[in-house]
Amino acid sequence: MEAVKTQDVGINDLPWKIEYHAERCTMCGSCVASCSFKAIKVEVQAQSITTSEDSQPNPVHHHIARPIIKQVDSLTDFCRGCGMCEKICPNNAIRAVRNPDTRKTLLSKDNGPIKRGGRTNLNAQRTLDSIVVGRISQMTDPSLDAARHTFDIRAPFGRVLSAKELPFEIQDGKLVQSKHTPPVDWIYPLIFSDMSIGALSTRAWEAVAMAVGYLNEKCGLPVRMSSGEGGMPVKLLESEYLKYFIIQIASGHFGWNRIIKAMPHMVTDPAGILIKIGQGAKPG
Amino acid sequence: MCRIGSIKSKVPIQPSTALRLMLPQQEGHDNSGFAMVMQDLYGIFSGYKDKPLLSLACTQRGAQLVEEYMDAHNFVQLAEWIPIPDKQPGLDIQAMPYYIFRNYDYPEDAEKMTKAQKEDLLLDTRLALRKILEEANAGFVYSFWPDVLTLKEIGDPRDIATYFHLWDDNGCLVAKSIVAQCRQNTNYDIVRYAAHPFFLQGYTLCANGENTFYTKNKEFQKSLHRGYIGFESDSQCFLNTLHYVHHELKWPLTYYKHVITPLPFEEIAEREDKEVLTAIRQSLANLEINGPNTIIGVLPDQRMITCCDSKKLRPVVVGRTDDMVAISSEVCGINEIMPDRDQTKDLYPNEREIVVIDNDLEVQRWKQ
Repeated sequence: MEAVKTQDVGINDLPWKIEYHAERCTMCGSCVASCSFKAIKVEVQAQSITTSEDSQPNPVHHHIARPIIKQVDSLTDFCRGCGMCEKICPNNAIRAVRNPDTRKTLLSKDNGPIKRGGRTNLNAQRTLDSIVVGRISQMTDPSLDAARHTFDIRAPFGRVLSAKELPFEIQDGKLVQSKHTPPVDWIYPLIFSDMSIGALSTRAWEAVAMAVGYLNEKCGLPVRMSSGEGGMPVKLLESEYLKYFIIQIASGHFGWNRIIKAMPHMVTDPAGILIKIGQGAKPG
Repeated sequence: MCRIGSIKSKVPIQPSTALRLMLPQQEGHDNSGFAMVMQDLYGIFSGYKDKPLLSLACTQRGAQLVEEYMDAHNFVQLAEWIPIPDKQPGLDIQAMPYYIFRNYDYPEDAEKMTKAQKEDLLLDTRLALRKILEEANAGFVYSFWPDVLTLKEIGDPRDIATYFHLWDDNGCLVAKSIVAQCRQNTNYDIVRYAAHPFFLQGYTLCANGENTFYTKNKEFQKSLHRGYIGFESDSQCFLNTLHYVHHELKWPLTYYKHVITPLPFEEIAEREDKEVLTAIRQSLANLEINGPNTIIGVLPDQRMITCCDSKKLRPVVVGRTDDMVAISSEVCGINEIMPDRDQTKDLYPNEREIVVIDNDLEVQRWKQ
């Protein structure tokens, strides 16, 4: 008997599985001959059958060797689901069925390691499907316990003064603030990379602005969005939505004069100003 | 979890009282050491209350190095107490060769110094001595401050007390304020510096529990003050923050609680002083503490305080009679030293409180 290893490729690892009905098969061999991927083969299968043909029980054992069609378990000669075998079979004895549990992409690694982004949506493998979500409490040592520890992921966004710079005076044993301090918002420190709003069509930036407004006003999530360095449409600069946007200004100075000109007409302050002083890779 | 305790008394008390407070509470990793800070001293140090007292455990070489340094910096030795140990066999103690408690007079040019300058001189001297002793691997310096004595040792506290004749109640060491703890660090290396209570410029502190924001506290504190060093224990962060808020920023003590365990955002938003509380939370976010803990502290003006983490996950109880107040992790210790007190007057502080015991032993509860 052949040795089996736990990491051996099995039929269930492949994207398509052959559904074969031996009782309908006439052994014509057309399917095997037509499979251009060599994904099926003829094999002899040992079978042990007990039958009784009399009116009284009279069991008879048959040991038979029977030719059958079998799928090949290989990462190179695997079934692509072309359906040629099904089309050519005169007796509907064979067809390919999609296997939802396939692990082919993981096993064959023919696209390298699982990666994020890129320029195609054509590969069926999706990044989010590969992310394992676990409890933070199980990932630290000693384990954290929500009942014992306080978790709050909000962070101050703005210019935070050092404690010694705070304009505090003591009055009747209490601290009192004597001057204004720079405005600071407490936000969820969740950062999406900035996509140039200036490069979007009107409908697209309207949708993005409404989405960020929805997250704030309907869902109560203090989300802020950076404009990217491409500037912003005047209409957006002069709208209420500006309070959810962080205006980015970069070395390219795109849209900068438009921002300056819009300033007297702004109805609200932006959430922040982000001055970008460097950038890594740039597509194109 | 370790047990902590402190006693503040109108009548000077001896360390055996602190031991009797601590010993009934011992369990688990306890009884692996003994450390105490005595303040407001009487007995043999009573004549030198305004002169800095150096507490030192060292080798002969260490003693020599300290003497050289102090001579070179014009500190004049006034009085000295070197305990003669009881070296009976079988005691569980990892003793250092010498324990030195020595009063110095300030250098002559210190006369013109302000109070703050003198405080800095004492701190810088202690830090310099610590560095010298560390480099020579020749000992430990725990405190250098007027009217403050620190003793820390590894071993069984009962045996340590026998070794230093603390059970004899011979009147050498007496004080109106003692903070004590009976075990060694279990989270990190066993180093004498890691044993509570810790001392810095008049502030004494010990803590029962853990500080899961240790790293965040530590990284921030390192940049705040030269005295914030060591970090052998996560509880030192509590002391550094107390010193920073009260001594450096000179904020009223109540704000210590707002810094280490800030109120939830929703509650801050409803308060009149929300501007101030928000600004504090923003600026000192890295001094917030987390995890279960209880703190006992003594301020430079001898007031004693206690407060807890924001969920009150570690116990603490304050018991009192007319001339003594004791703070302790477990009530059994207090029952031992003041069995006749009115137990209905015991305080079990909550998670939003700082309890302050002033020098008339009046107990105040400040709500955050």
